[in-house]
Amino acid sequence: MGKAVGSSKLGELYSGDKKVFKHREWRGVRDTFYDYTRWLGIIAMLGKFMLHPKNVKGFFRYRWMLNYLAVPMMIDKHSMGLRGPQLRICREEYDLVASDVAKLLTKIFSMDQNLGASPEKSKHVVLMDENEMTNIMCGFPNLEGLSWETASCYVCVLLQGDAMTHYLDVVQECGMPGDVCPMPASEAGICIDGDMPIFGKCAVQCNTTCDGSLMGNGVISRALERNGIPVHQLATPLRHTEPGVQEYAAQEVRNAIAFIEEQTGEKFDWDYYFECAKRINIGARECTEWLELSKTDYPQVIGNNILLYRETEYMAIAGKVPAFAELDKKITKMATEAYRKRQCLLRNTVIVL
Amino acid sequence: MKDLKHLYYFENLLMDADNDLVRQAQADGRVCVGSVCYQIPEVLMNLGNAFTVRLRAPRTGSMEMGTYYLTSFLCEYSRALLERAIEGGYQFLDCLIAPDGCTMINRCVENMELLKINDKENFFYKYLEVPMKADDNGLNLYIGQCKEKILEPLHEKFGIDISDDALRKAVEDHNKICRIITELGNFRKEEKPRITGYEFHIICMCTYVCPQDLLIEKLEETLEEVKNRQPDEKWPFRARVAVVGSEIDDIDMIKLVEESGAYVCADRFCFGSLPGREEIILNDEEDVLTQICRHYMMSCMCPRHMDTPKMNRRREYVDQIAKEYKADGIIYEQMKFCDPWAYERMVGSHVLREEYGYPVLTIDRPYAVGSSGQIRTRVQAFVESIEIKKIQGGKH
Repeated sequence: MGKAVGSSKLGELYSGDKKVFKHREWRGVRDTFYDYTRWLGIIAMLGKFMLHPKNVKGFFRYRWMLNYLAVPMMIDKHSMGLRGPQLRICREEYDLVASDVAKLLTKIFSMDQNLGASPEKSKHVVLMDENEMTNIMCGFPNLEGLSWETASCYVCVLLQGDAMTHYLDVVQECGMPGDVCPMPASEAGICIDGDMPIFGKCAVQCNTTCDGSLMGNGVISRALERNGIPVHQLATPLRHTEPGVQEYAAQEVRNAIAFIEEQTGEKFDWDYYFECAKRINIGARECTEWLELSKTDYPQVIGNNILLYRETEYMAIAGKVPAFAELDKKITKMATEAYRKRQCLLRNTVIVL
Repeated sequence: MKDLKHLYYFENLLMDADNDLVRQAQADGRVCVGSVCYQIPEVLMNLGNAFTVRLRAPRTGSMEMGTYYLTSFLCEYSRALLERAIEGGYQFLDCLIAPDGCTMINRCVENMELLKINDKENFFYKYLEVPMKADDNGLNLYIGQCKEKILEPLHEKFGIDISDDALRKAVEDHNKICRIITELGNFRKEEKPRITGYEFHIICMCTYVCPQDLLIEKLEETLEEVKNRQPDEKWPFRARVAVVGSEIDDIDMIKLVEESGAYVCADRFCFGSLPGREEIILNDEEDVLTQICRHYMMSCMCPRHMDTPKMNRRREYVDQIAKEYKADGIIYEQMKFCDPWAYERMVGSHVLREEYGYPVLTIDRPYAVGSSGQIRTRVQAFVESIEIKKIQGGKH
């Protein structure tokens, strides 16, 4: 099958129970060289990351940091089998996400009280949940909405599927049954195990996406308040399409904004908010273009990369980082050119509708 | 102690969701409103001609059909209800009002609607958005939702009187029941209580699953009976426990705990009296619906309420009732696969143990407890540990 579609037998890249490739995937001279240079770029990024003393401290302080050794492998896994423009699109997206996460970690460790930073260093930071829409922070140009859960839990399990096993053990030893959703349970476990970075002026928690997330916040809020970080809960309603409920939701957002203003002394800036909103709309428009291409016989932006990239862009970035909007346009250009040249994902494939 | 005259009668009422009093009320042309959660204000469904029944699935055996639709990861209460609904056990209902509270019970009722488990002509389902925080914004939402999803549909479909006077009358009737239950419950504070936790649980549960006005006579008689009851000379229990947690509508659970030597002196769970049977105090100045909603919002001890004051309040409340009812220890229990109570049980047990100094037993349990050997063993061991602690003068 592999040869017939112009690919090697991808499963044979793994040996036994090892999670690392035996050797790099052979994609032809050009694509293998391209992929290798991008891989080197990731290694260089990781090396640069470790030049910061605080990052080194963080690496040895937090058990979950060990998973970040798997960053290059994770990107390789998600670009497996891709060639030509699809490979380039995938690498552009993943590499931007990886560099954004590296910046997030650097910021966190530079402000982390567990690593010796003073609370003053993070007085411009509002902590947010991993599944919370961060675009409430789009109205605060001088503040940053950061999520320690994203760095310690969410990304780690993308890197290594069993990354949270230890923290699940911790939370279950405290009495949590094993049948609850493992994501909030892992976050609670990280918190209980003392592996939660301590930083931020205040925190805004949210019940999204589920009961588990809602409840896990309770564990985390206790730890935050013990460390002098006041917490506000933003209740996102479930029946949000109903008119009466929408006013409730709007007031909840207003209350969260008021809390941030009170804690930080900053004022909500609608002009900056709409500037970010425009970038969110750019992302949405460009993504629509990619999905339109995916309806054709020559899809270009596919697989896990579109999911992870869009999730990062929509929830975590929420228009605050111009680089993502710029990349969106670049990807559309790359994808459209590849579509015009009728470049297939796989050679000799028949698409069955 | 001498058996209570009406206990067997009350027990029989709990054997079937469509019990004798429900049938009697419906034969009189009354409207039966089904509910599944404390967060749907009970008193708003006991207006005029309507009466509410909190759904249970007594004598549940297998839950295969419920599990098929809801998967094995959802709480057993929700699966048991769906199972019973599919079997046709809720045909007697005239409508069903559920909160979008925990996702599990919401999905359970949604599945009932999709599967069309009730074919009555005017049957309706309503789903309320209920507040997740006890604040002004939450209260405004709650009032609006209760008006739109409970009062107006009851009025439009069944002609129920939803005027302020009708609401006040419903509160008055509700408080009458609450006073009786509270008075009965207060006997549990005695050194040698003249009512067991099991007996109390049965009586209290009947007020959730039957038209309350049809129960009142027997409740009053039972209260008088208990007032004059002589407790056993030798008290048969070795420790007093407050049972805290998710819903318990299986009378075997409290029976099992008491058979293991622990007297259940306080019932802080759904279908219990704390806070479910606390009186609603109204003033004459404020809008009555607002006051009712505020009562339910502030008194609700569901872990779904996520704001910090509420989280702290839940544990303070457990401490408060443990002191009031003189509990030696606390049993934190949860329904199997209940996510909200899983977290609440974990944190609550830790807080009540480490910060408040109570011995705590933490268990999860199936919907139908039966005579579970595992739970029995756990409770017996807990009772022994409390006894040892007492012998050692309260030292750990």
